[in-house]
Amino acid sequence: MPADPVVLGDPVVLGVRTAGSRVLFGPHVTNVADPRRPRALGADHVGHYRARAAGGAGVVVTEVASVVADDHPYEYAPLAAECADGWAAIADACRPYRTLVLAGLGHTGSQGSSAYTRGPLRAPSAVPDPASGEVPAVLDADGIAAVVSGFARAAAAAVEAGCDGVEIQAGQHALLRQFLSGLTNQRDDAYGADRGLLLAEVLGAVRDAVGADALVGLRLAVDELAPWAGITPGAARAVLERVAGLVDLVVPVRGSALSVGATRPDAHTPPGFLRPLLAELRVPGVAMVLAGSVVDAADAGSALATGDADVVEMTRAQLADADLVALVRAGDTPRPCVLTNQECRARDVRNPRVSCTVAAPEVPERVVARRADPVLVVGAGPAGLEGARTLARAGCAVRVVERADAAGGLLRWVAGLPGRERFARLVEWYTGELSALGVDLAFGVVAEVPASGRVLLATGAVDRPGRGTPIAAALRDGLPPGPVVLDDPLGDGAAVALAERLAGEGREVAIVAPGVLVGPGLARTGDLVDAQVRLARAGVRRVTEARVVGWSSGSATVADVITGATTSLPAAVLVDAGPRRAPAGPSPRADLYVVGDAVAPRTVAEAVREGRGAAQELLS
Amino acid sequence: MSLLADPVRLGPLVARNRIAFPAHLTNAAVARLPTAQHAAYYGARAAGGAGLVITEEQSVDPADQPYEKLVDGTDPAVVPGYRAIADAVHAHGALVFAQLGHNGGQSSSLYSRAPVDGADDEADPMFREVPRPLAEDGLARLVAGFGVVAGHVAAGGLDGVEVQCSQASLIRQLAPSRALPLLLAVLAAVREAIGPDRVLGVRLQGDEGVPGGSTADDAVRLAVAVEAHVDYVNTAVGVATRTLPLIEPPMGVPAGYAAHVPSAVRAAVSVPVIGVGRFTTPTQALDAVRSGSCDLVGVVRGQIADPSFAAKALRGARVRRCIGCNQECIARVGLDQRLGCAVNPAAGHEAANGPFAASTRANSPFARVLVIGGGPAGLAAAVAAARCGHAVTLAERGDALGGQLALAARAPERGELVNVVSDLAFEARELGVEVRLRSSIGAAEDTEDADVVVLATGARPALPAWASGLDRVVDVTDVLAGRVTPSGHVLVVDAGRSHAATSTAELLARRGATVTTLTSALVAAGALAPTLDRERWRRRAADLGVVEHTDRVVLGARPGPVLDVLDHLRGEVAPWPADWVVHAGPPTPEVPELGVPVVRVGDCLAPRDLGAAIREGTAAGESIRERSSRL
Ligand SMILES: Cc1cc2nc3c(=O)[nH]c(=O)nc-3n(C[C@H](O)[C@H](O)[C@H](O)COP(=O)(O)O)c2cc1C
Ligand SMILES: Cc1cc2nc3c(=O)[nH]c(=O)nc-3n(C[C@H](O)[C@H](O)[C@H](O)COP(=O)(O)O)c2cc1C
Ligand code: SF4
Ligand code: SF4
Repeated sequence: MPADPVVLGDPVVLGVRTAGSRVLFGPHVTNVADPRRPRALGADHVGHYRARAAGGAGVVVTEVASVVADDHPYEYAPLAAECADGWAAIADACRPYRTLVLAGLGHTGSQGSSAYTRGPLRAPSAVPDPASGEVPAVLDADGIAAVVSGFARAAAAAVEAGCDGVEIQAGQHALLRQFLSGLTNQRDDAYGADRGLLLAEVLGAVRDAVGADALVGLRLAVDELAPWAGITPGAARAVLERVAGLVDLVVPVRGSALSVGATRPDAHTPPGFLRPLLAELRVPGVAMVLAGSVVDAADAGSALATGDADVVEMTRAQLADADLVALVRAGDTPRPCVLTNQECRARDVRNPRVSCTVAAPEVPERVVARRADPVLVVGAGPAGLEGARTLARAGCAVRVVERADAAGGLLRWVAGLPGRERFARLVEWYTGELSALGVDLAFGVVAEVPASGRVLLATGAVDRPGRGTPIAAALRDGLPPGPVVLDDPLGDGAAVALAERLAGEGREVAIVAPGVLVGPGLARTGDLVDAQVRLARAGVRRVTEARVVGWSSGSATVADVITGATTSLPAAVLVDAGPRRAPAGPSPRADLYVVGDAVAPRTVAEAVREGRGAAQELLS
Repeated sequence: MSLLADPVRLGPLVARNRIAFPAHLTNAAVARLPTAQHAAYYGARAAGGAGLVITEEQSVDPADQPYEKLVDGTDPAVVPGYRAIADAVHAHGALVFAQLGHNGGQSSSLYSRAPVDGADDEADPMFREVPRPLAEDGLARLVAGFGVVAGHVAAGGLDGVEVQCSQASLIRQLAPSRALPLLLAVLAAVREAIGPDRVLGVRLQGDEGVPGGSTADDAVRLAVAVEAHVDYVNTAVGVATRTLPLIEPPMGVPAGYAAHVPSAVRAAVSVPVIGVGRFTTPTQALDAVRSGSCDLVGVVRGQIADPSFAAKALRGARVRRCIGCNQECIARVGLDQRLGCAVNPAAGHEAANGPFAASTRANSPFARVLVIGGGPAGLAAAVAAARCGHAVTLAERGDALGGQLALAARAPERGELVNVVSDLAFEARELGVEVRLRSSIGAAEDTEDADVVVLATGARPALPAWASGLDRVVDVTDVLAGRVTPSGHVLVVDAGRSHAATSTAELLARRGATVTTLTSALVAAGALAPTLDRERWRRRAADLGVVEHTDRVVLGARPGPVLDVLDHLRGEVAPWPADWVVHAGPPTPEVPELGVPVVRVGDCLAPRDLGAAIREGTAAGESIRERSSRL
């Protein structure tokens, strides 16, 4: 009889250690450092990793620490020399859960920042990074030796601090990748003739430094999506064969400086996109990790069951639900990651702390003292759904009334937009949770806010009177035929998505935006560049630094915001993609809480956060 | 300069002269508290002679946090920091006030994770977040917040408070009928907290620069209405999240561009009025006071660039001028980074003990220093080394100083760049640096004589491979240096991240060429945005008929010249013919082999910008310690 297929809750032997499950929490920028010790791993890091360990993660890779001080890619980038106490605290916090802790170690080379050191970037060759355009200084022999010894010293320190091992970065933002790639390595010395030499030297030195008792992982760019000079899967396989004896596990990743979004793309890229490459990359003796938009337990389970992968990296899935492994083990469904990257991409000049649209970690889920009086939740969008779930889980009697005939509020329509389909899963998840909790959900009910009693008001926003069809109405009711102009004063990405959908239906579409690019809010999600490409290829006109100043008889007049010059665009339909507004609310009172877009129209993150926060206050 | 030296009474206190250092965010706060850097920064300007220092904005509501490093003045832990600032400034005889404000809807929930409180529910164009309109109880909380922070200001021993109603302010956002009562209530609360012995001022908006926005008349109306409650009025133009280039105008905008606002206010009120706006030389400052447009001159960037601006102004000496490049002050602060200055590497780092500390080591042992290259890096190295007491020779191959920067300064609107060269050359002369022009690089006898050789040879233009062998395909420097004069239809290929392409495009268009630019970037002239130059450029480009194309990559070229250009968004290739092609791309470091150890600084280490050149040159010059060590 064949053995049962491997499942993600099973333990896995990695080198000389055993991880409690086959799910890895990958390294990511968090910006949660204490600003007084900006380059150390602080108490909030420990909490962040402990939560995933407690939730069943088998392996945690800590936020990548720079191995030399002149690599300072973002303000709160950890520096290995300042991480010993943080690594020790994280290892101590995770050990009780049989979670292995690997210290992420790296150097970002030309993809770093000169803002904090105020010195030059260092790289294999004087090739400017496409993102910053900054020409780096070429690493000389002394510089290379310092990098090798920096990796070795940092690895020894991490293991000494109690980590189970290290993960060496040769992935997306990595000097070691820059050495491996013909795009960035144009040296005429030994490190150019043999582009894998530096990686081999670093891994050799690291292995020597940590000995045979610790794990050495490698995060390796296996496809730079630039076959003319970049790393290809074939070349990556050769690298892996060369270093197989030095590493215990490998995490193949995709993308490079030219395609930054490709490593952790949003929902425009199908989940699990690297799985087809794993067979080609597998080398004996090295555990294979599937990474890249693995967000559903079923997909992860399938990759493990077939033996394609030994471990799955589910980073965003565990940001969305820290208890993912525990829930799957218990047969429950974790809160789904919606893959819109709105809150979890923290590598941003403003230093936002890592967060999550669906998890809203700023208001931790906790069991709150129970108060019996029932609560009426008005509105079954994300704010109301989250509030109702929080209340019901505490044992509070909840009744949810929704004027539409289904749950989800605006999300029902938003989920019809390309790249936002997974919001439907979130709604599905909430309705599943509420039905398991026995919450009474009444549809088609237009509730008057009762004069007394405890109420959570989550009725959402209303359309703002303006010119043309409000975007929400366009989504809900569709549009009359003819060319469409979308007036997009804020650019949160919704107009981009609608334009894509309309163009896909064969319409003539233009977006008019006041900034230098359409959809500037997509900078936060990593989709800004890809969105321009998709729009251009779909034939959508992007009219930037412009404003719609008139609309009549089938044409929109558009003025340049700087020069004032006007042009006109065919517009049988004008869509107002500007913000909605909060409805006039009932007069405030102590037992009535208004949450989400009903306060001010924003995003799902605020809805979830406020829904949960108000519910907790109602319970206490 | 005697007018500038006249003391001026501000309510209960007297400022020793007419030069103020108005409020500006430095991003030096840590965990939303003032730091030792703030004290050192303001202290340096007081030591440099300023009569009045106004701190950066202190917020009056913990949830008001548009920028990560905005000080939360409501936290009682600010008091020791205020005390340190007061001590540092008072030690040098200047007054110091704190600016207090609330950004209202000009903010986001990124840090606070709470709804933004605004005057109405209109989203700010920069933060793009719909606020929650503040009701009357919210306004009452706001007034209380001003009172609390003013109490901390007094407890910390600062000399006064300036209430910000100008570039980023909830009070300004309100309709006049609500703004005035609120402002009066705020002023009353602040006065109550600071008492009669400290100064209370207000900074008023006089030109929002948007259609229907407020004007100098509105500033006058408000000034008259609050005159009885304040000791002075400061003025400003521009909205921080909408018309920022008006607030911090770039190179090319003349000194005193905002003088109409203080002039109008001063004519209407009897309290002293501060005028601000691109004053970069003592003469300009003096003219502002002499012309009667203001009682005190606010000099922000001028004193970032030269902390001793005021003292030098009073004694009639020459300053190291701010050139309005905005590269390290505005651009860095806009990116949540510590404020710096392209011409003064110590700015923003006054508290650090590193090589950027503004120290002179006149007593360090004397060494013979050879600096090779007379661009900004070499000049800065020579000046710094000479200031430390070393004997410095500067060897420049060309027949003038300035290197690439002197070329860049030939472009329209970029002329102020040359001030860096002339100011550094002046300092070098004053310090006795021996400057040799038309000097062959690294003549053996020179390098043998030197204890330390600083290599500042810059970078040379590098045309891409596709340009080789083609006629009428040239580098921007060929155009700026006058070696070629392209005419007809000129394609300018912007493959770099500087002003080089736009500068050259403008120069040629003004000479009558038909100019088209192309860049692989998604945004044309994107490099001009962080320094606030882009908007003015767009206007001039439109006037000159310069057409800009984005998303275009040059794949190859043929005689003609004809470029094969890929539209990388659509994946289509097309031929682009022209009479001339002018290329702007990263140059190649010029690293002559001298056979002796050298310290490389500036573009010859890695081609970057003016700030890096001056910073590295200065650091190299300051770190020369003794004659025997070659660093
Ligand atoms: C980096 C920077 C930040 C600023 N932040 C503020 C501020 O917080 N409050 C304020 O009233 N003005 C602020 N300003 C505006 C200055 O007070 C001043 O009006 C402006 O710099 C023009 O003066 P200048 O030409 O002498 O530099 C800022 C200016 C700079 C350069
Ligand atoms: C046409 C042109 C325009 C330039 N514009 C600027 C500029 O606006 N700001 C700047 O910092 N550097 C600019 N640069 C680069 C600096 O001039 C260069 O980094 C500096 O002169 C290097 O100093 P060094 O030669 O002494 O090492 C420009 C260069 C060129 C060729
Ligand atoms: S913010 Fe969005 S993409 Fe990121 S983890 Fe959360 S749900 Fe997933
Ligand atoms: S960086 Fe430029 S604009 Fe800013 S203070 Fe210095 S010289 Fe002036």
